[in-house]
Amino acid sequence: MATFKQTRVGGKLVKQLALAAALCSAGAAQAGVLNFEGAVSPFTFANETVTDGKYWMTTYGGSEGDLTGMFINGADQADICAGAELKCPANNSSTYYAALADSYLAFGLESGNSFFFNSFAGSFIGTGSDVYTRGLLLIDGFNDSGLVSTLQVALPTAVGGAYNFGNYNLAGFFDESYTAVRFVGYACDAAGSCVRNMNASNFAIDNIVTTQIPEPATFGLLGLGLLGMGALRRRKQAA
Amino acid sequence: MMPKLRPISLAAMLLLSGVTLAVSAQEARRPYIIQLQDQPAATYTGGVAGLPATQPKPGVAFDYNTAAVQDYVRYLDSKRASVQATVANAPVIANYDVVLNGFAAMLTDAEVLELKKNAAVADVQADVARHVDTVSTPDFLKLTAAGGLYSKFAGGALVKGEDMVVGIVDGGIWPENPAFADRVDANGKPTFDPSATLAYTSPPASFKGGCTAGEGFDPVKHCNNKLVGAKFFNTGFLAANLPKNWTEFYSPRDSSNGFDGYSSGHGGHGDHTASTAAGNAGVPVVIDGIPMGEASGIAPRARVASYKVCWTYDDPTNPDGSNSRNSCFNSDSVKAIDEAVKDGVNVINYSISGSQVSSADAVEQAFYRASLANVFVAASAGNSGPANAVAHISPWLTTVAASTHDRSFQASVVLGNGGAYSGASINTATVTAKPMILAEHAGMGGGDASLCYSAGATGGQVLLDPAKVAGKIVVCTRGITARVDKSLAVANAGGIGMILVDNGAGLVAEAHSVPTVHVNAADGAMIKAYAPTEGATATINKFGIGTKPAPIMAGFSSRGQNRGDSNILKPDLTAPGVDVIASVSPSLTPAQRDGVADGSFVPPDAYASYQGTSMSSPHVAGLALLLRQLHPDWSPAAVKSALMTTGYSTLNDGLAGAQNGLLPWAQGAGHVDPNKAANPGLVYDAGKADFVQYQCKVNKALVSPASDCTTFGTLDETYNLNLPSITAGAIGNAVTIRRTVTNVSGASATYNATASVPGFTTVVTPSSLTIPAGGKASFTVKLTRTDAQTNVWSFGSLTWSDGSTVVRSPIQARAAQSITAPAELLSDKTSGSKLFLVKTLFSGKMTAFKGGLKDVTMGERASLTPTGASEATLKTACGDGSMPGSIKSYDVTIPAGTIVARFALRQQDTNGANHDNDLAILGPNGVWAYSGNGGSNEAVQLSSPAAGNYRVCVLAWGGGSVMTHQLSSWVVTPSDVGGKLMVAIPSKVVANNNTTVGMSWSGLQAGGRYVGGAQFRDLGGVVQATTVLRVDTGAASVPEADDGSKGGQVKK
Repeated sequence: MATFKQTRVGGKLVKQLALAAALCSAGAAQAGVLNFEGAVSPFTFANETVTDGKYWMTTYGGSEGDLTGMFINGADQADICAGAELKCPANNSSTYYAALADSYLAFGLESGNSFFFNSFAGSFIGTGSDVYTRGLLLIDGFNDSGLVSTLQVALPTAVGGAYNFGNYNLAGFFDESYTAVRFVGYACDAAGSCVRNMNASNFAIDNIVTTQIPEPATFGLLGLGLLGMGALRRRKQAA
Repeated sequence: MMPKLRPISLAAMLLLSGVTLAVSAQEARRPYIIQLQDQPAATYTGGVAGLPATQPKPGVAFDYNTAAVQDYVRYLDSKRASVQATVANAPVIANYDVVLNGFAAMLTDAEVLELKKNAAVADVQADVARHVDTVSTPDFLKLTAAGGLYSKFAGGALVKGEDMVVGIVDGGIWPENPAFADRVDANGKPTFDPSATLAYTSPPASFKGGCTAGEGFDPVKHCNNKLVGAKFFNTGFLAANLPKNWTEFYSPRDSSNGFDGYSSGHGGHGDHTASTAAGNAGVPVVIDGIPMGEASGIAPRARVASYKVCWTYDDPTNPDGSNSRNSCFNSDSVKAIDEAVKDGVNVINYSISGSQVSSADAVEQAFYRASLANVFVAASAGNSGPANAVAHISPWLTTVAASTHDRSFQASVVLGNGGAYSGASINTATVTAKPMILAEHAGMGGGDASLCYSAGATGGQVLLDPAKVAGKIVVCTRGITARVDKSLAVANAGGIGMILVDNGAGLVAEAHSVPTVHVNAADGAMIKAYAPTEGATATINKFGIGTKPAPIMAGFSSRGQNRGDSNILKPDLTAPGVDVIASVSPSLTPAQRDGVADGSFVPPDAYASYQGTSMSSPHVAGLALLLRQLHPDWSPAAVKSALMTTGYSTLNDGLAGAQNGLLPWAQGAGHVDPNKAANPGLVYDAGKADFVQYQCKVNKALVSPASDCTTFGTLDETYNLNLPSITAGAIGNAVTIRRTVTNVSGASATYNATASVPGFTTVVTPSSLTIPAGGKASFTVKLTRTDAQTNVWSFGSLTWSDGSTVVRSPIQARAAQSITAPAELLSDKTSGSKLFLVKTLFSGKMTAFKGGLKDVTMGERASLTPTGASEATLKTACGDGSMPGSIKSYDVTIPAGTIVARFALRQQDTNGANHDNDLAILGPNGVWAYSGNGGSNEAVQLSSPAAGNYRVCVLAWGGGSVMTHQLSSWVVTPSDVGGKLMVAIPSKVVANNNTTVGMSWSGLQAGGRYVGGAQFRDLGGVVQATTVLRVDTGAASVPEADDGSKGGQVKK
């Protein structure tokens, strides 16, 4: 398993791009999965980028140092998610990412290549609101032309007070090629009225499956790590 | 003084006898209760392939002998065996399968850690020793009045408990008492005469229990159709390796009383509680040669099944001077409760101390399952009052406080100056115009002997000087030692009478060694002022029986609030627990005791007047027997509701502040009124779904199967549990509380609500309910804060009335700080994280200070001699530095900005496994926190304490003649940086909403005890809430015993 390295853009930590991974994954259409296994530092903060060497993910919500999310190892969830009102997803014993308190995120490939977005798993996280009891994800796909796809996905409702991950196959719904995909969560009441300003929007994602589209031009960048970093930084500013 | 076997000489003997002592702490075995994942038989609802559900249907007693139960138990046996195989070297003390699925075993620390990792194990708890909490009340309760419950018929018999069985989990039974005879003589009085008329047919078919033989107990001779069950459970006691006292019988028989020249026994408690709940009517009572009239249990026709779990052992350090002690181990109690449910009892009485902070305690969990098997459980609130120390805080059982009743035994004291004072007494011999002396002036060597210690005192206290006391009436002061020990001291010193001056705990009439009157503190002050006068004399008169205003809360009755869940009211209600006369075990000589043991001596019956919540709890157990006979379809929760909503207020006891007897913290919903409880109109019922939802909220790890939390859901807030009381401990701007009532009146009815709470507006929706017979209706109570101060409780009530029947619930409400965060988070991981919810009453940017994680600082070993001082005495001594031989004080400076200060003791850091040390902290502006558990696992913790000079005091309460300890300390400030503690807060908070907040740490050492925390600050930077993080890693995460309250009937 890859280990997540956390990077603060323009910031204090040295970014550690695993170029070898990019090299290996280039050349042919290849499936990949962003599953967050092996994350060592539990929290993400606003405008911070994390990477497993193959994917980058940037989280948003507030300014530097503000909590945006958490990598939660489902196997240790009983120790991590404290109190009965906080309802972390019940059916995932691997590590997943929890986007907290109205935060949102975007991800893409470290290689800079375009990709198809095939499927992912998502769950709402309950935080004790007796009004906002369910969740909705707004998924936006970007490529060099800007925003090219958008899709709304209703997250599974609670069963017996417990939230669970659902698997979402996007074939037929989200079929462009993208350089970045953004997840924005909403918290909704029973009537379907949704908000993302009450800190009630908390959602979990896992097992993001993509297929990479080979771009021979990328090979030209391989020896130029610094240039690659620059591209990455620009991408984040654009997202 | 009598030579005593001290622990130090015991250790020396072991060395001489060549016993290997090279056992490291790691390998030491201690008792634990292990709970497994599968449901026990009483609550199994199916789910294992091929094994059908075994939980009984509502209103049906659990039957252990059905094929389904037997099959399921076999399945549990095999699963349990596979877990036990992983700790194959561990001696197993007991196996449980009915109300708790698991076992008790002696484990090493390594085995505990091994079991905690096992997926089949739900919980591992250290076993703990609990203690027992210690005629005419049927009249006071108006059961005997015209139209009272005893005059009603149900099931073809008068409502006196017919065909009901009460399980008494206590100190055993004295079967020679006519309270437990099944025959009557020509006058209808109970008798054991085999030629007399049988008054009871064979036990009800639903009862499957019986009697076990043992020392001095022959089931053929001693059990009958009244005493239908008698069993004993001592594997946990035996595992503790304590020396059996000579008064004890390894059998269902209660231990005797009596004195062999060295130690005296503690028997009587089990008989007292059994006969109070269900002893026969018409039993003539004689105490100390004085006929006191006839006694009757509350449900005099119910049958008795006794389950003995409390055992007396030698203990020269008991501060009560008895040189022995009586303890009840949780592992034995769980087994007894398991057995009682298996036997099919209808009600259990548990007059034994319990946890004050957790419903996850193994005994509380056993009662949870007993309640689901339709067994009503009454438990004593504890005798640590008027401190906030209520025990048995679980919502599925009924926690009973103690108050007075109206019968009084009084005698007068007349002084030589003509002053006459009346006090409690059963004195039968007049002492006329004899000289008197203050014990303060009667000590050996000129010392102060005001507390009148007998020669059994352990701590080198000043004793009465026979040269000064002989031939005089001595004025003694109540406190620390047993009341009867003081009159013994007077008698031993040659005194001829005692005037006992009260300390505020309330007057007690009882048998003393010399003629005695117990006067209140005010009268006592007058007497003390006169006594030093030259030629002072006093006359002590004989007692008479009168009435007095009642009920008044007993000073010793432990007060709320509930320290484990501030949204649940405890105690639930109050019942008579002062001057309760019932059967006890007699005082026997050692020869007589041995004659009972081998069957050659038939002992007499005996009676005594006891006080304690132990005595009030069986009153409620007896009432539950009556109500269950009257309403066989009522659940335990419905019985509890009926008793609570029909209760009435006690009279003012005059205590100040939160200890006042009129508050629900003292009397719960009020004093029981059983004739009204028979027809309460509406009940707040609760069953499996309600209690599973509650457990999923507060004890999630103990819920089995875990899927129950999906099937039944999780309660959103514990104040929404459908109880007959309403308590909300952290109200923001407003709170909406849900309840459902069931109409049990037998006819359709319309009820209208009235409700009010000072400092809040109170809106009930709907405010009128029309409910058909047997139907249910739901409503909400919305409390909106107006001028209530934060962190101060307000008390009000909700009543539903149909014009004649009033259904009353007390309401307790407290406004919260502007930030509400978890008070404490626990983990055992060297690297880990927490995600939790923080609620704010404002929107914007919340900030935090953090400190820690910081490992423990261990103090130097300190050595003390014991004194069994109360909380009040400790507080005074901690402040003025007195009692330095028994109290070690540690001065601590708390700097500004401190996040948390924690001080703790551990049993393993003392020099005795049974030593009882207490711990407290005294600070500026009256700050006082006290931890007075039995045993030495104690902790006091102050979150965000004010800066200043504090003093931590350790009291050697009892257990050894030389008691050492090492204090564990943590004072955590923001300058403490360890374990890479991180507190992560999102960019904003939203008023009246929860926000997710995280903490993480890494790189801690194994075997450490770390404390840290975060202070959450409002928009102005003011600290509004503190969350303490405690991480015990590796061997330090082995659970400690939660010893709960100190017990004992109230003798002091």
